[in-house]
Amino acid sequence: MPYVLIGRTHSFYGKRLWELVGHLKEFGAGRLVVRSRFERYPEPCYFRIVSARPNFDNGRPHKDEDNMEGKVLVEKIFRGKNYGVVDISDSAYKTDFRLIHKHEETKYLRALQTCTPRQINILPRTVEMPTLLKMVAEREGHERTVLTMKTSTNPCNARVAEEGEQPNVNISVGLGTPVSPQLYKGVI
Amino acid sequence: MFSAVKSNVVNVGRVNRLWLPLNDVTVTLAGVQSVRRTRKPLWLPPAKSKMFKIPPRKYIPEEESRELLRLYNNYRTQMKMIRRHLKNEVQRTAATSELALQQAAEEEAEHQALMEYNLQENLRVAALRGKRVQKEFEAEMARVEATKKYQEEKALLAEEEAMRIITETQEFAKSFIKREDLEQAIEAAIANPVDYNFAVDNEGHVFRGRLTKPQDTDEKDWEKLPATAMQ
Repeated sequence: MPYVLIGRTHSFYGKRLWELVGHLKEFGAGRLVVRSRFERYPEPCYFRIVSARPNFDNGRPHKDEDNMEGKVLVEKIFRGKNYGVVDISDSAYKTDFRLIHKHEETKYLRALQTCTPRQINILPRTVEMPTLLKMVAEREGHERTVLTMKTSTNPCNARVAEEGEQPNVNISVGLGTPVSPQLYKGVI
Repeated sequence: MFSAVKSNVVNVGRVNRLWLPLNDVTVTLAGVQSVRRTRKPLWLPPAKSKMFKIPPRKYIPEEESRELLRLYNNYRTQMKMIRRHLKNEVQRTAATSELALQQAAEEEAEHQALMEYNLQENLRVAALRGKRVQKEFEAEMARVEATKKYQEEKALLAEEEAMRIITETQEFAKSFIKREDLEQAIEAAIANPVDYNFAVDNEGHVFRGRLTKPQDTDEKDWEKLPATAMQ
């Protein structure tokens, strides 16, 4: 029977993780699942389920939709990097998961071995100040007249350039180097 | 149009609840238009005419989203650097920073130096003041001595004057009428009556005596008032 979907659309594609693991032996321990939102990245992204404990009875029958809660631990591989066993219980309710067939798992494992590692952004050590701030800094005798770069404690995709190293990211006052120059055609 | 705007009362269940603030709708000052909230409150359900309306999803082209991502990343990175720079500057120049403590120590040292200079200056001025006060004291003492000497001389003169007056009075007292000579003096006074009356005519002639007449004496012997009295 044909049916028509109404309502707002979203960017997810797939089922809830609880819906998948509910059909599997031992709640899918050892199986691969992927999130369709992560399939846009060139590097392989998947989860290997370590353990899953769906919460069937939330004490409120027919109150909310089923398969919304539970505890799940997975081995997370994101953009070709293994992040170890993590808890994704908070996002397992999203209808974005897809189960990988057992005979397709080799493809993902091989892709993980053969993929080129993700490019690390090497940030410049210092960046020129904005003009007004530089004037203020020179007038009031600040300790520095350039801005120093510092990343968070453990960034996965960026680091500050070593001494004498050439950064591959250009951060400067102004527009910088556009990644889509055609957008600025006829404007600048 | 939402029907509640007209009546200001929304039927929620069986309770008539006023959902517009009462002050907003009851303020009716002359010449002042009351401000009305035209928006539907958040706790009301969608209007029936909008119930099945599905707004289209926003679509951002891939190249545009990548460019926006780059711009936002640059913006956030630079803003974090600026914030960190300003924070470091504030910490560097704060009251408890090393720079501030150094400045405070320098100010304290300068203050101590100025206090020492002030003390020395006070001592110098005190010495000068002592000399001046001593000189003034000596001058005052000299003036007092001179005054005392003057007063002594003045007292001496006054004593001499008093002695002179006493002497004169004693001399004068010798002419007083004594008690044993009183009868004789009275008799002498009775025997020699003195008439102090006198008359003056238009020409300034004086006629002594109460009963004296001009014709009693010769006109050549008439006494004339002194010329100064006529002026």
